[in-house]
Amino acid sequence: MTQLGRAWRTSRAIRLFVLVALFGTATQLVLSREGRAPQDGTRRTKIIGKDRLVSVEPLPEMDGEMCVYPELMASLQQGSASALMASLPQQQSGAAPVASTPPRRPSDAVRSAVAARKPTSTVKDPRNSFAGLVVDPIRNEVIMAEENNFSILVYDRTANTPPGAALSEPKRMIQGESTFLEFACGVYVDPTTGDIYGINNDTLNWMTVFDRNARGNAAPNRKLATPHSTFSIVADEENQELLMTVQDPHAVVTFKKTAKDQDAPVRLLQGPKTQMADPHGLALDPKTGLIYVTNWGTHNERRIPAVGGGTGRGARKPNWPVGGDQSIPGSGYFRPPSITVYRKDAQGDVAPLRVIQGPRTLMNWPTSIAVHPDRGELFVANDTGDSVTVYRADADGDVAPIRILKGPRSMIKNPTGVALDLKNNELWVANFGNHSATVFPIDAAGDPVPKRVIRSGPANAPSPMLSNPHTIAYDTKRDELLVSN
Amino acid sequence: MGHPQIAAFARLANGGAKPTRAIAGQNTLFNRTIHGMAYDPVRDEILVPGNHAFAILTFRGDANGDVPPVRKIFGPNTTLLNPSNVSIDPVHGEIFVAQGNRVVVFPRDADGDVAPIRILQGPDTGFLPRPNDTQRVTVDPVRNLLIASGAGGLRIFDRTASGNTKPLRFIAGAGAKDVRLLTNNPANGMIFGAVRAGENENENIQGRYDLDDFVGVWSVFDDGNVPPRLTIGGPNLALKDARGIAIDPRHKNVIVSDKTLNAVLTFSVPEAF
Repeated sequence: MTQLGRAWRTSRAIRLFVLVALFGTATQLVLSREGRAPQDGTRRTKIIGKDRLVSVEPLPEMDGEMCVYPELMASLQQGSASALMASLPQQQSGAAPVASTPPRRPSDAVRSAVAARKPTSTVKDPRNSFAGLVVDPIRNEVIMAEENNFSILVYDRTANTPPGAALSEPKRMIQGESTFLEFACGVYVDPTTGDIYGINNDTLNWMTVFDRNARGNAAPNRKLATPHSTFSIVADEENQELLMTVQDPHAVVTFKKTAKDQDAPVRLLQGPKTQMADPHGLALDPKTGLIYVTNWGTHNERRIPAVGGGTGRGARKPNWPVGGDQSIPGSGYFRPPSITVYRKDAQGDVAPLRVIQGPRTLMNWPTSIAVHPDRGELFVANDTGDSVTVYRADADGDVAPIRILKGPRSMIKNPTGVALDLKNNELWVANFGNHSATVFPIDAAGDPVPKRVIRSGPANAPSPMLSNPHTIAYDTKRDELLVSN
Repeated sequence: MGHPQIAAFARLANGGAKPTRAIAGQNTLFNRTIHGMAYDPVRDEILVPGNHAFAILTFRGDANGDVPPVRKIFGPNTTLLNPSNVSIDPVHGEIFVAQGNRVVVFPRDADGDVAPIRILQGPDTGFLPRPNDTQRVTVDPVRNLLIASGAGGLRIFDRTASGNTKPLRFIAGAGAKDVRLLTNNPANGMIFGAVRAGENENENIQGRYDLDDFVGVWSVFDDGNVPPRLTIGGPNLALKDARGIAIDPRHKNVIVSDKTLNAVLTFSVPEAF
């Protein structure tokens, strides 16, 4: 039995050895066959260094456009950070692109069909939006600078849209390609002739002068090339000059009132000492000879050329503002909003006589300003404050308003224009946010009901407040269009 | 223009629709106008250039009203100069700003006075100084590409290109040379550019009322003098002065703003997706 058992164990070991040897040989045969050049190109095993068993299966030929990383794209579209990160491809910069050949071009039929396709929706305010205004008490009219439809509108001064009416039609409307009006936000009316002066804040650098009876697609009687981004215009009738704020160069330029075409300014107020920063509103007090400028607060520093005159487009013109091409990189800064005060003939880089600035002023995007010489008061339209704040004209520093107009009864909503009717002692406000101009007694305060209202749309009509909608983006999380002015 | 803002509208908004919200006011640090914007879907943030104060401002995606930015890139080390555009690579977390004849790159979390981490600049880039400068950039994070408009066409670089680097490809020819604002769809490698044909200076009004603008669509693999694969909104159809461009891939929409129309138009274009 003992011998029998030993023989069984010996033969079992031999059989096991033979079995292992056969398996090893077979494996080597299989691997060696896989290692040869593939005949059908469908599957192979590569041995690279110590790594092995990397299986590659070629993708089918592409036909049309390729949809890559569906999880990545879905997460990009839905804004899911975790899903996005989990789905990121493990590739380094400079790695081979996902696909290396351009997709097939669309057929002519597809191209034609797409090119002729009309929009499915268009966000556009069909109504007029008042941006700035001026009163002509001699002719009993009020003139509106209107941004939404590139126009200047004239209404009777005493027009009053009934509460149930959709709107009041203007007496005259100047609008069209011949007018050289785009984003007009400043207007002035000549007290003697009734001529209407309009300035374009953006995209079209002209001041236009129209006959008071101009209407429709009328060419201006004359036009004057202005620096880019003029915002407010006032006239010094005593000296027959026009003064304008210019936002980009943070300046006030002065032209002769009769200037036209490529005439140069006669004076320039610009430089760091002026403390102007994104200047908007401009008012002139003919009694004191002072000008008041409202500033939003953003600014940067510029090199002033050794030789006078402007640079760039106005390089050959004296008193042309130094443009952004002379700005110093990284030199920008933010300041609180302010009112800076100068003599009307100030020029060069001079400090303001006074600065009204600080949290007590309650200014919030002070966009327009008017001065009442007899009352010694300044009226400021605060766009995003939905308010008109009133200050003493000799105020200085961080002072509170002496009166505030604000509230739902006042209908003051995103006011971008303010004007005074000195003859009739009325305060006018252009409300960009609700298609209206509202009229108040000169000493109104609190949340007063307007004396009169001129509306260009129903009282409850929404106002998109589009004005040169420049850049847009799509908010994938909320499925919303983001539109910037 | 009297009132800068970032207004949000419902996807299907039409006519004189009321915005669902709007970012505007003293605390936003916006200046007179906004010429650039980007939405970061990963962080749910909105990026805006500050053209006057030389800053890049970042807001929460749900920002509404007179709110301050949550971050701002701002100061002498940034070297920012009149920034009028901004683009985001949401995957790799980088902010791109075209600056005349160069493109500067910041990390997404940059805050304060920080220097760019990369600058793409030099004669080999093909970028030119003003007035023929680089207009806008957009990033394809899937193929790792940076696409720049302006200076005669669309230049396509590696996403991480730095210094004096030649573009991988250059799309020239009619249409491409007039692209200003642009975006791309990483899902299919398509570039969408707002083509401002016959663009003129701020003194000239001629042509502004002509229906000669359109959106051009190219592939990131296009190279050389090639026409757009698709044209949207024209020419001779709807667009007079195309400005901004955005896409909604989920609904296969192309959205474009128009200065002369003072409007935002949405086109359904499944063929482009």
